[in-house]
Amino acid sequence: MGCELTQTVLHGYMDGELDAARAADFERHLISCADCVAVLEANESVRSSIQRAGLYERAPRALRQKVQAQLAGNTQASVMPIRKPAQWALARLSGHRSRGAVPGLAPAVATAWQPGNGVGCGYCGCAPSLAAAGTS
Amino acid sequence: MRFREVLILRELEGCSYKEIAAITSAPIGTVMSSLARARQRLQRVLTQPAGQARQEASHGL
Repeated sequence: MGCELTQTVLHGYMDGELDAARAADFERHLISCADCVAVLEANESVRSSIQRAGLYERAPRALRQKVQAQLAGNTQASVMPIRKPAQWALARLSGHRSRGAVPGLAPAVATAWQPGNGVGCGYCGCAPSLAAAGTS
Repeated sequence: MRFREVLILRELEGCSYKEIAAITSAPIGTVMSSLARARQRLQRVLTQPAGQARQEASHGL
């Protein structure tokens, strides 16, 4: 196809991405450009065959929402432990027993993460000395 | 950017260029040019004789 607009503006036009002025410009262009008319028709026909072919099934609304909710939950879950164990461990090691802390978990975390046992906090990749310094 | 991805997002999910750009982490210009090439290629595949089309399809879409 000879017209360079078939690769650019034409797609914006058929996808409704052009503003009104540019869409009107392109429509005027279509009157005199057989290339663009042919490509536009071909693209529209490809589009309608894909959409009609039953190739694709959108997830039902309820399932979609459930998955999205779980994804949001997982994101939180992966972020929370990074902060919480460190706080519990800090409270435990500095002699404060926070009322809000989960009783069973704090000792477990504190044992797992002793300063001076040669490892960092295990979450952020910090050096052992840094992890120990935070607790003293 | 994969042709199949932009086509599905645009034609089947009905995403805007902006949304596609966000999903694929590509600039809008790249989205537009990929979409143009994807359409061109899919159309060629769909209108070619079967044997040739299969070969072409396995190469890009």
